[in-house]
Amino acid sequence: MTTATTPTADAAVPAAGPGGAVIEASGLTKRYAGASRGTVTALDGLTLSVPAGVIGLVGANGAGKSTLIKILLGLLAPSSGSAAVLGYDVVDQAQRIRTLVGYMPEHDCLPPDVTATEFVTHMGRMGGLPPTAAKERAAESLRHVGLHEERYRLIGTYSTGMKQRVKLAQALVGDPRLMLLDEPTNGLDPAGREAMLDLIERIGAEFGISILVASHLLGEIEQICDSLVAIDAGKLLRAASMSAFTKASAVLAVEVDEGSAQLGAALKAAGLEPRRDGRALLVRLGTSEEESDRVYDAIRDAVADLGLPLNRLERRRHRVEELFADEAFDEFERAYGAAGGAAESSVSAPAADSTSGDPDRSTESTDSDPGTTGSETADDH
Amino acid sequence: MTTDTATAGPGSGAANPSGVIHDIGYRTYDGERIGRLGIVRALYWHSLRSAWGLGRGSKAKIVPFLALVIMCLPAVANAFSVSRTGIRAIAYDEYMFSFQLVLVLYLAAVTPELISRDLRNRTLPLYFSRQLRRTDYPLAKVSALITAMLGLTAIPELLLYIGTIGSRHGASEVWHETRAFFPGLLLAVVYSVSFAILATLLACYTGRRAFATGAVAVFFFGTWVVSSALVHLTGFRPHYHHGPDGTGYFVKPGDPGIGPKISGLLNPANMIEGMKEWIVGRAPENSEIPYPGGFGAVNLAVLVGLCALALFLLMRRYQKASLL
Repeated sequence: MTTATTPTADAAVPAAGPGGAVIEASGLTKRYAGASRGTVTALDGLTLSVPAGVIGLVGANGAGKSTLIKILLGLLAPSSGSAAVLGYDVVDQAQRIRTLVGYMPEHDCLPPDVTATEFVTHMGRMGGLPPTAAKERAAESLRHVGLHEERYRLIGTYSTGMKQRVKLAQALVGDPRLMLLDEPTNGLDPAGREAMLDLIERIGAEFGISILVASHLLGEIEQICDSLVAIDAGKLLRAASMSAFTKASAVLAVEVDEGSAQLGAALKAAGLEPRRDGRALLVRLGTSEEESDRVYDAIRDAVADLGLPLNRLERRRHRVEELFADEAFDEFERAYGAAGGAAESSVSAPAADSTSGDPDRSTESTDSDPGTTGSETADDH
Repeated sequence: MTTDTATAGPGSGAANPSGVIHDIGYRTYDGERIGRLGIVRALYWHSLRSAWGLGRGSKAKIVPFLALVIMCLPAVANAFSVSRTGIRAIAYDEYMFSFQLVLVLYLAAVTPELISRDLRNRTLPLYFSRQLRRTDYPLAKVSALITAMLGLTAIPELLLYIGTIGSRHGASEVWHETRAFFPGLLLAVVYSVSFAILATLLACYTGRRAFATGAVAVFFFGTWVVSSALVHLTGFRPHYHHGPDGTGYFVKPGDPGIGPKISGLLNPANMIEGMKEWIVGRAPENSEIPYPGGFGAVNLAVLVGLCALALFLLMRRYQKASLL
């Protein structure tokens, strides 16, 4: 079985340089011809170009994240349009792409009756490593993902977090140039999520491997991403570097115990565009310093004038729902104007289901001082 | 590409002495990579080993090796029989047909491990996200199962041959024996190939191990019972009649008619048996399957067609996007 070894080290050289695009797509469309439900459009004219680094792929469940990843792997053929990974076409050069890419599926994919070492070694062999190299790299990968002595145990005895690590290790074992991780934090508790995200960030930063991380929680992966691709219902919402996202406009969340309807009206009167998000009101901070100050002042005045008990005032980064910001603000306006202060009319963006699982939202401090909360969350990147 | 990463330095590879565990940082892999064919070969070896329970727990070895022992027992008994009395215990070309039960038991135990396991655990996307093409995986698996089956069929035939020529004297006797042996060996190959392909196809539609085992067992046993019953119901009378006092007598075989011949096509083993009778030009004296005459060509055609169809369906099965 070692006779057919051919040195293909040249294949490991990515065609796209450090400055080039890791993933490119143009007019990428995928339709499924469903027998019962008719044609389902999973991806709809996706055009993007993403540079190397840690890339967040955000979208609600069913937005087309997994479909995009499978097309990038060459496992699904696009209905129309084209895409390239590391400079290779996903249709014509899929096999070349798959030698350079590590894939971690969303679902469970591990056999319970083998040890992690055996499994990752086997997957290394299936990725084209000779026997000895596969063993070595399996041990290294498992060590990198934080599985030490446990790796000699049967996978069936592992916790969810450990299984996710094994899935990550098998994607890493072939020394890929790009990793495609589909919902790597799925099913993990907050601590496990943090650990997994740290791991991904480390792989991206220290190992020099580009990573595409799909998630429905922007709040989660925004901490580790260099750039972000947001899709909804198969359409591209935005693709930009992380700094562009944060710079565009930060959002201030105002939470009062009662009277949020009056506060909303008062803020509107002050020329702001408040938007309801759960119990909080979201107000856009301007792009410049003065504008922000003006917003802070307006809120302070409104709260003080109404004599409302202020619970929380904090600066937030964009989250999935805020990528829909324009529609959402309009919607709020409509709902608000019509109901004339219907306090519980919950207006949220199409992808607002992500709020339920957002870990850092609930752990945020309830500090009411705008100055400290603002700087605290502003540049953790 | 990763010049700023590894503290071990790029390209140092195996030069680093190991033994002490440090966090040496990430090391890229610049060594050789086996190509797609090498991967298929690795998957083939891996599957072949698991088909014999190697690299798995000790429990996984019980059925394969028990089956091999049972298959070899007649050959060993034959060696004694030939050396003591000169009487052959079993003919080369009747061996597989007589012991098809063991072959089916082996397949029912092993095929789910090879095929259904990856379906059940949803490991297939991990294979297909690597260099392997969609057809490579089932080809490697079915080849491995055929090879594993060859161990179970050819080894007993070989033992039978070795045990017999040990008691043969003179070149002509050995030559005669060898000429009888080759059809038996060929039959072992035919049984291995067709049984393995059919069993693989049956198992690839379910991830449940028990269902796959059941499907394989029911298919081979069920069709065998039905086929054999129909052969008799449609008018076939055995050439050998048992008398009431334990003796027996042969009757001259007449043409059994088309009914028993077609009934013989309903089961792979009966089909192969009929085909063999056609090729060697005679039926064994106590055969349960009618001598098909020219109809044997149909047996051959159906067998080849069946295996081709099964392979086609197998390949198509692994093209399905729902496996991802």
